[in-house]
Amino acid sequence: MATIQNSKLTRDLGISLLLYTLPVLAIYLYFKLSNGVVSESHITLPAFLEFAKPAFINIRTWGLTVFMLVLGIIEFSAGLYDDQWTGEERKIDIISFLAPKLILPPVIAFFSLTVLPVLIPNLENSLSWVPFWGGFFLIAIADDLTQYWYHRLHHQVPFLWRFHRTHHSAPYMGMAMLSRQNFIYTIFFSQIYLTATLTYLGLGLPALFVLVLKSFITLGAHSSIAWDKPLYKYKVLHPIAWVLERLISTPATHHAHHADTSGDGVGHFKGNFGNMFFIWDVIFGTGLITRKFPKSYGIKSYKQEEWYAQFLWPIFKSKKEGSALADGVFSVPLKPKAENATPSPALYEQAQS
Amino acid sequence: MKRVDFEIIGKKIVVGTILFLIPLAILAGGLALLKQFLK
Repeated sequence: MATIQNSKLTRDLGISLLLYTLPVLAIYLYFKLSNGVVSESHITLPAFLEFAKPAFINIRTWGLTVFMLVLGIIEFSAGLYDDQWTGEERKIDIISFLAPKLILPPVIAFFSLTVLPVLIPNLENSLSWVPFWGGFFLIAIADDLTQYWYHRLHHQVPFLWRFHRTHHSAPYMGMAMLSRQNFIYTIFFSQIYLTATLTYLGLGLPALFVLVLKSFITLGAHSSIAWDKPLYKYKVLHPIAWVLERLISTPATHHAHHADTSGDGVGHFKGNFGNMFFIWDVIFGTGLITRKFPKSYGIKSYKQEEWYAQFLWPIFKSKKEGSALADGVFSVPLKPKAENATPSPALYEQAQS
Repeated sequence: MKRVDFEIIGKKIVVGTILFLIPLAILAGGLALLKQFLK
């Protein structure tokens, strides 16, 4: 079983290398077909998007946080958390919401303004000759395919799972799920450093538009307000649903990923790893589209661990008995040494894959 | 924190770094080659 999974991982990673080259090929075709000339000028927005630029900048800097808070109030007022938002859940949701917003921006700024100019001093804006739509396509693939892999590996590689467990521990869905993560998972997100580097290289404008769109799609996919239900209810909208649910993450497909079961025909924590795009799950065969919502969410091994253990494991451990985040719990069963006749009593937490 | 905890964080950083460097090499390297090719 593990061998099959490993060979599939290797095959899919190989396919991904080809997918990463698609935007480069698309930009090549654009220049070839349009007889365009590569200039040194900075990337410019298409005229019809000029009016949207200030809006996107405001959304990126403060608007999205306000939108999330309003959405959270609506979700809470509508009782969509089913009274499950209590105790440790509140603490972990609030700290996960606030901490990255306070800590990540200075970290990314330091990386972009101090680290990159030292590491690659002569390459600032070296990609500003790339046309806007080429850059948009490139950032969309670069950011989201990388996050797909980051996410999938945290489900399928046993030692990584507990860095992602916090995101799946809540027995409910809602806007807070978007940022509910172990902080070490968040701070080492590969795609944010990749997009920051591509921004430094001159693709900041397309990155702005991609990241705002991505934020709304991922927020919508985690929200307990199922915006996609009308698409499944009215037959006339089914063609739109068919396209959307294969292209982007919807509440139905992403809620299935957060189900506490997999294999019941609806819940699918073994797949649906896509964040902005669902197309990666379609390509790699990890997707399940049912247009149904799971009955329950979370993980079976959840012990409502302390907020500090969920947020900062393995720096802080849980004191709860039987917790996967407690001291002395491993990601795989220990192999008993030959000279040790008694089996190891150590606990282990199986990856949710 | 024990040694095993530092190891697991270290291994995680290695995975994250690989996921950062490979796409960057393909995309930025590919575009740099493309620019030379189109000139």
